Amino acid sequence: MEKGFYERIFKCFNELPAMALSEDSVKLLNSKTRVIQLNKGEYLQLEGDVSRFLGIVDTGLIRIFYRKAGEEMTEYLASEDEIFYDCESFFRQTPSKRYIQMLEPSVLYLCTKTDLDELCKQNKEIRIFYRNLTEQLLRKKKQKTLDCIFEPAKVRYDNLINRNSEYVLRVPSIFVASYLGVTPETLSRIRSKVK
Amino acid sequence: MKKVVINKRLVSAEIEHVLGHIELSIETKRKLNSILVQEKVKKHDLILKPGDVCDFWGVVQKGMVQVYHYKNKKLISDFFATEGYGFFDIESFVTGKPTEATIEALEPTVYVKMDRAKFLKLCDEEEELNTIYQKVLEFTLILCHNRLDSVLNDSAEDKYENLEKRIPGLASRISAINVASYIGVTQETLCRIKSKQEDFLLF
Repeated sequence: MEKGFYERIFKCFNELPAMALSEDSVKLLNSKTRVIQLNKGEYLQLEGDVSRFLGIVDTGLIRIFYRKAGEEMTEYLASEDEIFYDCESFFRQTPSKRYIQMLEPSVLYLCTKTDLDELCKQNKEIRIFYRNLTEQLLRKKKQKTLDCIFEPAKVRYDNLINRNSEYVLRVPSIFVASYLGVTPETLSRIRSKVK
Repeated sequence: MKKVVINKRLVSAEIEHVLGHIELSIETKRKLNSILVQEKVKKHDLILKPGDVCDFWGVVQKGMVQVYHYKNKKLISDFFATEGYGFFDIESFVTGKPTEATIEALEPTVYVKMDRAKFLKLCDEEEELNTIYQKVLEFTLILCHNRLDSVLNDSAEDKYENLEKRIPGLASRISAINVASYIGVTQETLCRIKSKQEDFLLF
Protein backbone atom coordinates (compact mmCIF):
# COMPACT_ATOMS: atom_id res chain seq x y z
CA MET A 1 0.00 0.00 0.00
CA GLU A 2 1.27 3.46 -0.81
CA LYS A 3 2.13 5.38 2.30
CA GLY A 4 -0.18 8.35 2.81
CA PHE A 5 -1.42 10.74 5.45
CA TYR A 6 -2.41 7.98 7.86
CA GLU A 7 0.92 6.17 7.86
CA ARG A 8 2.74 9.46 8.28
CA ILE A 9 0.74 10.38 11.36
CA PHE A 10 2.19 7.35 13.15
CA LYS A 11 5.69 8.56 12.48
CA CYS A 12 4.86 11.88 14.17
CA PHE A 13 4.32 10.32 17.58
CA ASN A 14 6.71 8.21 19.60
CA GLU A 15 3.97 6.83 21.71
CA LEU A 16 0.69 6.16 20.03
CA PRO A 17 -1.99 3.89 21.43
CA ALA A 18 -3.77 1.37 19.28
CA MET A 19 -5.16 3.57 16.56
CA ALA A 20 -5.15 0.97 13.86
CA LEU A 21 -7.76 1.45 11.17
CA SER A 22 -9.06 -1.20 8.81
CA GLU A 23 -7.64 -1.13 5.31
CA ASP A 24 -10.84 0.40 3.95
CA SER A 25 -10.79 3.24 6.47
CA VAL A 26 -7.13 3.92 5.75
CA LYS A 27 -7.91 4.11 2.03
CA LEU A 28 -10.82 6.45 2.72
CA LEU A 29 -8.77 8.76 4.93
CA ASN A 30 -5.81 8.81 2.57
CA SER A 31 -8.06 9.49 -0.40
CA LYS A 32 -9.28 12.69 1.26
CA THR A 33 -5.79 14.05 1.81
CA ARG A 34 -3.64 15.88 -0.67
CA VAL A 35 0.06 16.38 -1.25
CA ILE A 36 1.36 19.79 -2.21
CA GLN A 37 4.75 21.18 -3.02
CA LEU A 38 5.72 24.73 -2.10
CA ASN A 39 8.84 26.77 -2.72
CA LYS A 40 11.02 28.37 -0.11
CA GLY A 41 9.41 31.57 1.13
CA GLU A 42 5.91 30.62 -0.07
CA TYR A 43 2.95 30.71 2.27
CA LEU A 44 0.35 28.03 2.96
CA GLN A 45 -1.64 30.51 5.03
CA LEU A 46 -1.75 34.27 5.42
CA GLU A 47 -3.09 36.48 8.18
CA GLY A 48 -6.88 36.73 7.83
CA ASP A 49 -7.27 33.26 6.31
CA VAL A 50 -9.34 30.62 8.04
CA SER A 51 -6.92 27.78 8.76
CA ARG A 52 -8.02 24.82 6.69
CA PHE A 53 -5.40 22.15 7.15
CA LEU A 54 -3.99 19.65 9.55
CA GLY A 55 -0.63 19.04 7.94
CA ILE A 56 2.41 16.81 8.05
CA VAL A 57 5.78 17.81 6.69
CA ASP A 58 7.08 15.14 4.32
CA THR A 59 10.23 17.01 3.36
CA GLY A 60 11.30 20.55 4.10
CA LEU A 61 10.75 22.95 6.94
CA ILE A 62 7.89 25.28 7.86
CA ARG A 63 7.24 27.88 10.48
CA ILE A 64 4.08 29.35 11.97
CA PHE A 65 4.31 32.95 13.10
CA TYR A 66 2.28 36.05 13.81
CA ARG A 67 3.04 39.74 14.06
CA LYS A 68 3.03 41.55 17.37
CA ALA A 69 4.05 45.22 17.60
CA GLY A 70 5.89 44.94 14.29
CA GLU A 71 7.82 41.85 15.35
CA GLU A 72 7.44 38.36 13.97
CA MET A 73 6.76 35.89 16.74
CA THR A 74 7.76 32.38 15.67
CA GLU A 75 5.35 30.04 17.32
CA TYR A 76 6.13 26.72 15.78
CA LEU A 77 8.71 25.01 13.61
CA ALA A 78 8.12 21.69 11.91
CA SER A 79 10.33 19.55 9.71
CA GLU A 80 10.16 15.99 8.35
CA ASP A 81 7.54 13.77 9.99
CA GLU A 82 6.16 16.50 12.18
CA ILE A 83 2.55 17.53 12.40
CA PHE A 84 1.43 21.16 12.28
CA TYR A 85 -1.83 23.06 12.59
CA ASP A 86 -2.92 26.54 13.59
CA CYS A 87 -4.75 25.60 16.76
CA GLU A 88 -7.50 28.14 17.37
CA SER A 89 -8.31 28.98 13.76
CA PHE A 90 -8.30 25.32 12.70
CA PHE A 91 -10.60 24.06 15.43
CA ARG A 92 -12.95 27.06 15.53
CA GLN A 93 -12.77 27.78 11.77
CA THR A 94 -12.33 31.49 12.43
CA PRO A 95 -9.92 33.91 10.69
CA SER A 96 -6.35 33.59 11.91
CA LYS A 97 -3.67 36.14 12.71
CA ARG A 98 -1.01 33.58 11.80
CA TYR A 99 1.12 32.88 8.76
CA ILE A 100 2.40 29.47 7.70
CA GLN A 101 5.55 29.89 5.68
CA MET A 102 8.03 27.53 4.01
CA LEU A 103 11.60 28.01 5.23
CA GLU A 104 12.77 25.45 2.65
CA PRO A 105 11.20 23.89 -0.45
CA SER A 106 8.64 21.61 1.20
CA VAL A 107 6.32 18.72 0.44
CA LEU A 108 3.26 18.67 2.71
CA TYR A 109 0.50 16.15 3.35
CA LEU A 110 -2.72 17.97 4.15
CA CYS A 111 -6.21 17.12 5.31
CA THR A 112 -8.88 19.82 5.59
CA LYS A 113 -11.02 20.34 8.67
CA THR A 114 -14.13 20.00 6.50
CA ASP A 115 -13.02 16.62 5.16
CA LEU A 116 -12.01 15.41 8.63
CA ASP A 117 -15.39 16.37 10.06
CA GLU A 118 -17.15 14.67 7.17
CA LEU A 119 -15.05 11.50 7.54
CA CYS A 120 -15.75 11.42 11.27
CA LYS A 121 -19.49 11.52 10.55
CA GLN A 122 -19.28 8.71 8.03
CA ASN A 123 -16.80 6.39 9.66
CA LYS A 124 -16.66 5.31 13.28
CA GLU A 125 -13.05 4.10 13.12
CA ILE A 126 -11.83 7.42 11.77
CA ARG A 127 -13.88 9.22 14.41
CA ILE A 128 -12.08 7.36 17.19
CA PHE A 129 -8.76 7.74 15.42
CA TYR A 130 -9.25 11.52 15.24
CA ARG A 131 -10.24 11.62 18.91
CA ASN A 132 -7.10 9.71 19.92
CA LEU A 133 -5.04 11.98 17.73
CA THR A 134 -6.55 15.08 19.38
CA GLU A 135 -5.74 13.65 22.81
CA GLN A 136 -2.13 13.17 21.71
CA LEU A 137 -1.97 16.71 20.32
CA LEU A 138 -3.25 18.03 23.64
CA ARG A 139 -0.65 15.97 25.55
CA LYS A 140 2.13 17.41 23.39
CA LYS A 141 0.88 20.95 23.81
CA LYS A 142 0.61 20.57 27.58
CA GLN A 143 4.12 19.12 27.83
CA LYS A 144 5.52 21.99 25.83
CA THR A 145 3.68 24.54 27.98
CA LEU A 146 4.95 23.02 31.23
CA ASP A 147 8.48 22.84 29.78
CA CYS A 148 8.34 26.51 28.93
CA ILE A 149 7.32 27.33 32.49
CA PHE A 150 9.65 24.97 34.35
CA GLU A 151 12.72 24.64 32.21
CA PRO A 152 15.29 27.36 31.58
CA ALA A 153 15.95 28.32 27.95
CA LYS A 154 19.17 26.25 27.94
CA VAL A 155 17.29 23.03 28.71
CA ARG A 156 14.61 23.84 26.16
CA TYR A 157 17.27 24.47 23.54
CA ASP A 158 18.84 21.07 24.37
CA ASN A 159 15.41 19.45 24.07
CA LEU A 160 14.93 21.03 20.67
CA ILE A 161 18.35 19.75 19.57
CA ASN A 162 17.54 16.28 20.89
CA ARG A 163 14.24 16.26 19.04
CA ASN A 164 15.89 16.97 15.74
CA SER A 165 19.48 18.12 15.96
CA GLU A 166 20.04 18.75 12.30
CA TYR A 167 17.05 20.94 11.56
CA VAL A 168 17.73 23.42 14.34
CA LEU A 169 20.86 24.29 12.41
CA ARG A 170 18.76 24.82 9.27
CA VAL A 171 16.53 27.42 10.96
CA PRO A 172 17.76 31.03 11.06
CA SER A 173 18.70 31.78 14.67
CA ILE A 174 16.32 34.71 14.93
CA PHE A 175 13.41 32.24 14.50
CA VAL A 176 14.89 29.74 16.97
CA ALA A 177 15.27 32.54 19.55
CA SER A 178 11.70 33.67 19.05
CA TYR A 179 10.48 30.06 19.26
CA LEU A 180 12.27 29.66 22.62
CA GLY A 181 11.01 33.04 23.81
CA VAL A 182 14.51 34.49 24.28
CA THR A 183 16.48 37.27 22.60
CA PRO A 184 18.95 36.36 19.83
CA GLU A 185 21.77 37.41 22.22
CA THR A 186 20.63 34.91 24.86
CA LEU A 187 20.41 32.18 22.24
CA SER A 188 23.92 32.92 21.08
CA ARG A 189 25.17 32.65 24.70
CA ILE A 190 23.37 29.31 25.06
CA ARG A 191 24.89 28.05 21.81
CA SER A 192 28.42 29.03 22.79
CA LYS A 193 28.01 27.12 26.08
CA VAL A 194 26.88 24.04 24.15
CA LYS A 195 30.08 24.09 22.11
CA MET B 1 -14.43 11.80 49.29
CA LYS B 2 -18.11 11.68 49.97
CA LYS B 3 -20.37 10.49 47.22
CA VAL B 4 -23.73 12.18 46.95
CA VAL B 5 -26.75 10.94 45.11
CA ILE B 6 -28.42 13.87 43.45
CA ASN B 7 -31.08 14.70 40.96
CA LYS B 8 -29.72 13.14 37.79
CA ARG B 9 -31.72 15.28 35.43
CA LEU B 10 -30.05 18.32 36.95
CA VAL B 11 -26.58 16.88 36.39
CA SER B 12 -27.28 16.12 32.80
CA ALA B 13 -28.64 19.60 32.16
CA GLU B 14 -25.50 21.01 33.72
CA ILE B 15 -23.22 18.98 31.49
CA GLU B 16 -25.07 20.07 28.39
CA HIS B 17 -24.72 23.66 29.45
CA VAL B 18 -21.04 23.18 30.07
CA LEU B 19 -20.34 21.41 26.84
CA GLY B 20 -21.84 23.82 24.42
CA HIS B 21 -25.61 23.58 24.49
CA ILE B 22 -25.75 20.37 22.54
CA GLU B 23 -29.06 18.63 22.91
CA LEU B 24 -28.49 14.96 23.65
CA SER B 25 -31.05 12.29 22.88
CA ILE B 26 -32.89 10.79 25.83
CA GLU B 27 -31.07 7.50 25.38
CA THR B 28 -27.62 9.11 25.46
CA LYS B 29 -28.63 11.21 28.48
CA ARG B 30 -29.69 8.08 30.29
CA LYS B 31 -26.39 6.37 29.55
CA LEU B 32 -24.39 9.45 30.53
CA ASN B 33 -26.30 9.82 33.77
CA SER B 34 -25.48 6.24 34.66
CA ILE B 35 -21.74 6.97 34.72
CA LEU B 36 -21.77 10.47 36.26
CA VAL B 37 -20.74 10.70 39.88
CA GLN B 38 -21.18 13.90 41.80
CA GLU B 39 -18.56 14.76 44.42
CA LYS B 40 -18.50 17.42 47.10
CA VAL B 41 -15.17 18.49 48.54
CA LYS B 42 -14.06 20.97 51.17
CA LYS B 43 -11.65 23.82 50.63
CA HIS B 44 -8.06 22.47 50.35
CA ASP B 45 -9.17 18.88 49.77
CA LEU B 46 -6.99 17.14 47.20
CA ILE B 47 -8.89 15.65 44.28
CA LEU B 48 -5.73 14.26 42.71
CA LYS B 49 -2.20 14.01 44.08
CA PRO B 50 1.16 13.06 42.53
CA GLY B 51 1.39 9.29 42.11
CA ASP B 52 -2.35 8.85 41.55
CA VAL B 53 -3.65 7.93 38.12
CA CYS B 54 -6.03 10.51 36.70
CA ASP B 55 -8.60 8.05 35.40
CA PHE B 56 -11.45 10.54 35.25
CA TRP B 57 -12.34 13.97 34.04
CA GLY B 58 -14.32 16.40 36.10
CA VAL B 59 -16.53 19.39 35.50
CA VAL B 60 -16.93 22.04 38.20
CA GLN B 61 -20.55 22.80 39.05
CA LYS B 62 -19.89 25.10 41.96
CA GLY B 63 -16.66 26.41 43.46
CA MET B 64 -13.19 26.24 41.98
CA VAL B 65 -10.30 23.81 41.66
CA GLN B 66 -6.67 24.42 40.87
CA VAL B 67 -4.39 22.13 38.86
CA TYR B 68 -0.75 22.64 39.81
CA HIS B 69 2.70 21.12 39.44
CA TYR B 70 5.61 21.12 41.82
CA LYS B 71 8.97 20.51 40.24
CA ASN B 72 12.55 21.66 40.82
CA LYS B 73 11.30 23.26 44.06
CA LYS B 74 9.04 25.47 41.95
CA LEU B 75 5.27 25.62 42.30
CA ILE B 76 3.46 26.27 39.05
CA SER B 77 -0.22 26.86 38.96
CA ASP B 78 -1.37 25.38 35.69
CA PHE B 79 -5.09 26.01 35.53
CA PHE B 80 -8.00 27.32 37.57
CA ALA B 81 -11.27 25.57 36.75
CA THR B 82 -14.33 27.60 37.77
CA GLU B 83 -18.01 26.82 37.28
CA GLY B 84 -18.56 25.12 33.96
CA TYR B 85 -14.93 24.29 33.27
CA GLY B 86 -13.61 20.77 32.91
CA PHE B 87 -10.37 19.60 34.52
CA PHE B 88 -8.00 16.65 34.32
CA ASP B 89 -4.30 15.96 33.99
CA ILE B 90 -4.17 15.07 30.32
CA GLU B 91 -0.84 13.21 30.52
CA SER B 92 -2.01 10.72 33.11
CA PHE B 93 -5.54 10.66 31.70
CA VAL B 94 -4.30 9.57 28.27
CA THR B 95 -1.38 7.33 29.24
CA GLY B 96 -2.81 5.78 32.42
CA LYS B 97 0.51 6.48 34.13
CA PRO B 98 0.81 8.10 37.59
CA THR B 99 0.38 11.84 37.53
CA GLU B 100 2.84 14.54 38.53
CA ALA B 101 0.03 17.03 39.00
CA THR B 102 -2.06 17.98 42.00
CA ILE B 103 -5.70 19.02 41.80
CA GLU B 104 -6.92 20.91 44.85
CA ALA B 105 -10.22 22.55 45.74
CA LEU B 106 -9.66 26.26 46.37
CA GLU B 107 -13.22 26.70 47.60
CA PRO B 108 -15.89 24.31 48.83
CA THR B 109 -16.55 22.64 45.51
CA VAL B 110 -19.16 20.47 43.85
CA TYR B 111 -18.13 18.70 40.65
CA VAL B 112 -19.18 15.76 38.54
CA LYS B 113 -16.68 13.19 37.42
CA MET B 114 -16.66 10.66 34.64
CA ASP B 115 -14.52 7.55 34.65
CA ARG B 116 -12.29 7.52 31.55
CA ALA B 117 -12.88 3.92 30.50
CA LYS B 118 -16.65 4.13 30.95
CA PHE B 119 -16.84 7.52 29.32
CA LEU B 120 -14.80 6.49 26.27
CA LYS B 121 -16.86 3.33 25.87
CA LEU B 122 -19.96 5.53 25.77
CA CYS B 123 -18.31 7.86 23.28
CA ASP B 124 -17.60 4.86 21.05
CA GLU B 125 -21.26 3.89 21.22
CA GLU B 126 -22.87 7.31 20.94
CA GLU B 127 -21.65 9.60 18.20
CA GLU B 128 -23.26 12.69 19.73
CA LEU B 129 -21.39 12.19 22.98
CA ASN B 130 -18.15 11.65 21.08
CA THR B 131 -18.76 14.97 19.33
CA ILE B 132 -19.02 16.65 22.72
CA TYR B 133 -15.81 15.05 23.97
CA GLN B 134 -14.04 16.00 20.74
CA LYS B 135 -15.13 19.61 21.34
CA VAL B 136 -13.89 19.48 24.94
CA LEU B 137 -10.48 18.30 23.75
CA GLU B 138 -10.33 20.99 21.08
CA PHE B 139 -11.42 23.71 23.51
CA THR B 140 -8.79 22.54 26.03
CA LEU B 141 -6.16 22.56 23.28
CA ILE B 142 -7.00 26.17 22.44
CA LEU B 143 -6.83 27.19 26.12
CA CYS B 144 -3.51 25.39 26.48
CA HIS B 145 -2.17 26.98 23.32
CA ASN B 146 -3.15 30.46 24.46
CA ARG B 147 -1.51 29.81 27.81
CA LEU B 148 1.71 28.76 26.05
CA ASP B 149 1.63 31.86 23.89
CA SER B 150 1.03 33.99 26.96
CA VAL B 151 3.86 32.33 28.93
CA LEU B 152 6.30 33.12 26.14
CA ASN B 153 5.15 36.50 24.95
CA ASP B 154 2.96 38.37 27.43
CA SER B 155 4.10 40.72 30.15
CA ALA B 156 3.14 39.89 33.73
CA GLU B 157 0.57 42.72 33.54
CA ASP B 158 -1.08 41.16 30.47
CA LYS B 159 -1.19 37.75 32.14
CA TYR B 160 -2.85 39.20 35.22
CA GLU B 161 -5.43 41.07 33.17
CA ASN B 162 -6.26 38.00 31.10
CA LEU B 163 -6.72 35.86 34.16
CA GLU B 164 -8.90 38.53 35.71
CA LYS B 165 -11.06 38.62 32.59
CA ARG B 166 -11.62 34.87 32.70
CA ILE B 167 -12.22 34.58 36.44
CA PRO B 168 -14.62 37.17 37.85
CA GLY B 169 -13.70 38.28 41.35
CA LEU B 170 -10.22 36.84 40.95
CA ALA B 171 -8.55 38.77 43.78
CA SER B 172 -11.04 37.67 46.39
CA ARG B 173 -11.23 34.05 45.19
CA ILE B 174 -7.62 33.05 44.65
CA SER B 175 -4.77 33.68 47.07
CA ALA B 176 -1.92 35.94 45.98
CA ILE B 177 0.49 32.97 46.18
CA ASN B 178 -1.51 31.01 43.64
CA VAL B 179 -2.06 33.95 41.30
CA ALA B 180 1.66 34.77 41.44
CA SER B 181 2.59 31.17 40.69
CA TYR B 182 0.24 31.17 37.71
CA ILE B 183 1.70 34.36 36.29
CA GLY B 184 5.24 33.28 37.13
CA VAL B 185 6.22 36.25 39.30
CA THR B 186 6.99 36.80 42.98
CA GLN B 187 4.25 37.99 45.29
CA GLU B 188 5.97 41.37 45.55
CA THR B 189 5.81 41.84 41.79
CA LEU B 190 2.16 40.81 41.79
CA CYS B 191 1.50 43.42 44.45
CA ARG B 192 3.08 46.11 42.27
CA ILE B 193 0.98 45.02 39.26
CA LYS B 194 -2.22 45.23 41.30
CA SER B 195 -1.40 48.64 42.74
CA LYS B 196 -0.58 49.99 39.26
CA GLN B 197 -3.99 48.81 38.11
CA GLU B 198 -5.68 50.56 41.01
CA ASP B 199 -3.83 53.80 40.19
CA PHE B 200 -5.15 53.50 36.69
CA LEU B 201 -8.70 53.05 37.91
CA LEU B 202 -8.54 56.31 39.89
CA PHE B 203 -8.35 58.23 36.64
